[in-house]
Amino acid sequence: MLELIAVKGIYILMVFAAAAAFASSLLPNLFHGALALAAVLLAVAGLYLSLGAEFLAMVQILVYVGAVMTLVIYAVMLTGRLEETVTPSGRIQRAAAGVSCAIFFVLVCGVLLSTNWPAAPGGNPLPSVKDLGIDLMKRHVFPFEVLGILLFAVLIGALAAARREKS
Amino acid sequence: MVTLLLHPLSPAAFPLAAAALNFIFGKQLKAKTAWISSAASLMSFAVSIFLLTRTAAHGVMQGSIIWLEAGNFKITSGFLLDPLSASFLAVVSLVGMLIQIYAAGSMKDDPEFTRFYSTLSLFMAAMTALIAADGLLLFFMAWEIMGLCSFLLIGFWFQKEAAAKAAHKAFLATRLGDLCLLLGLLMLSSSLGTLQFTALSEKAAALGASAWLSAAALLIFAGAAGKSAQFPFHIWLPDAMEGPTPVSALIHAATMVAAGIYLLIRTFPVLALDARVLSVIAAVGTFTAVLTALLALRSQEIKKTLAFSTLSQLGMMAACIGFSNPGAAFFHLVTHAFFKALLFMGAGNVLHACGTQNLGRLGGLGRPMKLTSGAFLVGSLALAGLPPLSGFWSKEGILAAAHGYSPFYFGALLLTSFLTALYSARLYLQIFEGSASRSADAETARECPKSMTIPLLTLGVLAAAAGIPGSPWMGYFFQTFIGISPHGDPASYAVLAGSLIACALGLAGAWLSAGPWRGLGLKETAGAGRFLEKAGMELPNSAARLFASGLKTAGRAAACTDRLLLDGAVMLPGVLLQLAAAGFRKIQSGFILHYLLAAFAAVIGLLAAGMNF
Amino acid sequence: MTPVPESHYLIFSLILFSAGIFGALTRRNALGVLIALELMLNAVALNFVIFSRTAPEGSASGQVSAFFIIALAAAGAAAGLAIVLAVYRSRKSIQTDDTNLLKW
Repeated sequence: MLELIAVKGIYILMVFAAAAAFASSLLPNLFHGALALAAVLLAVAGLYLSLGAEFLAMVQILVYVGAVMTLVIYAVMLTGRLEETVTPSGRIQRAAAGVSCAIFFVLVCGVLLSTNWPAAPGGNPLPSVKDLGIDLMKRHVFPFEVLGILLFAVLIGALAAARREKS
Repeated sequence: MVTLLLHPLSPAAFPLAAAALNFIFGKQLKAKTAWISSAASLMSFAVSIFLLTRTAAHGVMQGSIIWLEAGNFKITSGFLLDPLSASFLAVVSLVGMLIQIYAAGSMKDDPEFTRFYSTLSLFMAAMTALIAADGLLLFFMAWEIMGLCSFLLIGFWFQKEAAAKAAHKAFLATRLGDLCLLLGLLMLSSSLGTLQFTALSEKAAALGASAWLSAAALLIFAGAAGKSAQFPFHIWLPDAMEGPTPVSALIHAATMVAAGIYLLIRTFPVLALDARVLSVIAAVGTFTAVLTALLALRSQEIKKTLAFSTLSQLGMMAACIGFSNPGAAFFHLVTHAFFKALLFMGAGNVLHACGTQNLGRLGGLGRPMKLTSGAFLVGSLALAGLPPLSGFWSKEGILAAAHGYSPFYFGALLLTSFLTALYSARLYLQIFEGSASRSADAETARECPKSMTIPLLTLGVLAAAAGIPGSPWMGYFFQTFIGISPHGDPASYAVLAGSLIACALGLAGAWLSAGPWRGLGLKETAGAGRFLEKAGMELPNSAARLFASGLKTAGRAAACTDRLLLDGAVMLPGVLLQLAAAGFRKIQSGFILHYLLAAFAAVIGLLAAGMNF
Repeated sequence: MTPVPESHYLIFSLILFSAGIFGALTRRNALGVLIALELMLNAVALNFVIFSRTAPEGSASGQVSAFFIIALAAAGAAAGLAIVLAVYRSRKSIQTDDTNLLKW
């Protein structure tokens, strides 16, 4: 019974996330779009939970929704221009983009549905946080360290790029 | 050095050097250009006399260089000095020298003095080169240069619109003739394989008559008709009188227009192959002679009358060639050079003294201008053909040839002689006799300076005496010296009687029309006279204008075709490319989103291509 | 383990990705493009996590990759926003059709 509700909940989350995703791309008001993105990210965090990646779900909420979205909304507010109008050439662009996205969707869907996804080797427990930690520090330690350097570089670069010119 | 100076082409080199000097240093030399040109022609004359005696003693001189060689094909060019060209050379350089001395006086106050003399010297160089040429190549080149000089000199006072138009007309009319000559020349060269005058007679005889050679001969005659102003090319000569008088005297009386006759004489072996060609030449020449003699009667200006007279005499010379007697034609050419140049110079004197050449406003100039009137009288009588002046002997030669050819032509040329005597005597009487009360200019006329009268008198002597070498009194020495062809049957009494009667009638008629019968029959013949002018002058003029406008239209059509078809075909790929590029250029809109879209579309394409459904 | 089949999850992540692409191709505001970009990256991370379900025992590669993607997305967002701010300051506009200097 609980399972049924859980499955139903997952599907409801998916539908909600999909709607929010389209909203974030289609809404003319940029602020609303940013908020819709935050909604998508939250829903995806829920899906992570359903997939057994609890730590990742928490990280998603903390980092993605908490930090990145804050940054994006901050920038949106700073630049001020919120309303978007659609120009005639923009209409053509929209139509072309819509068509190509639809084609893309259909193609990849075809691939997805026609592939036999391998089933999980029976009774495999989902990776735990401990496994995640070990993997991060053992197998993937090098990318982890490089990622640290990258973040450091991005920090300095963003500072430099956004700095006001010394007059 | 001495041999180089006495080379047969040096009579052409001296004036050429003078022309170059005058052209380059004209501004510094100013009046001295006349000295340089005259000195050059004096040297030409001296050399030509020497060459004449040399030819008489040692015979024909020839020499040539290879002009063009391409495999088996070879063209040579050089000089040919036989009695014909040697004597013509002497005559031309003498007349040229005298006229250049005359022009020093007559053009003294003209601001463009130096240009005049440099062009005149260039002309002399071209004429002497033409005479000494041994083949049609050098001949044609000199011919063209003479056409250019004639254009420059007729339009010497180009600020006057009439002069500029006349120069244009002369150039274009002779140009048409030149085109025909070139075609004929090419046809001759292709069939005979040579352009040398000496080779023409053997090669022509070897080939025999053919339609090709007859066509070539007719084209050559067309070229001569253009330069020597036969009908219908005669329209340019009367208008050419817009140029200065020395120009009319030299170019349009004595030398250039005679070059056409000289061409016919040189190419006679080819012309003689087909009797029909000769008959065409005879007909055209006679028609020109009669028509222009009639027109000369109606003219009211001195120089125009003399121009028509030149046309008439040239017609007689051309007709004589048609009668298969080039020797007589040449003799008349020589005497005509003397007395016609004399007459023109006299007209120049009258113009200089009175400022007008309108016969209606002249008269009684015999008393103040004794020297001029005396010389003019000699010239007129020579033109009329009064014995023992030079004109009589040469005209008799032509009449004899006509008599031997056909009685109809003989009659026509007798008529021409009568008309010639009529208008030439009348011209003298109208200018120099009668009362001087017609205009103030005539009353205050005085004799011209020595530079203008001395050449006149010299030519007067020559006009009187130059016929003697060709007369029976010296046993037709001139004709045998030239030795080109039979010179008719001079002992025929019919010819003698005919010419004397025609001359006497003409002179009497002139005396009568100037005196007791003045104005008689003027009204009755006015209509006929106007018709004659219309047919003789206006009709060919309008025909020429029509022809010119036709050519212009054809030219415009050709230009249009060239622009549309050829240029269009060449430009078309470029234009198409430009259009295609303009279309393709729109891809570079500068919008990042467009580029993104393109990249995404490419990814989809790759995806679709990689899938196997 | 949930009885929701993998293909459903995968189709969902495809939907997210397509929405993101559409937004990236259509948005006139540079920040709008960045938002859509974040959406796309998130969809990719979700894909990794989906495949980690069927991974062998003890291997957490899928989650680690998603972890890295989140970190990289954050870095990219930071850098992009800094650039957008700099562009805004010099041009007073961040409309994508205003930056068309490479037009023919």
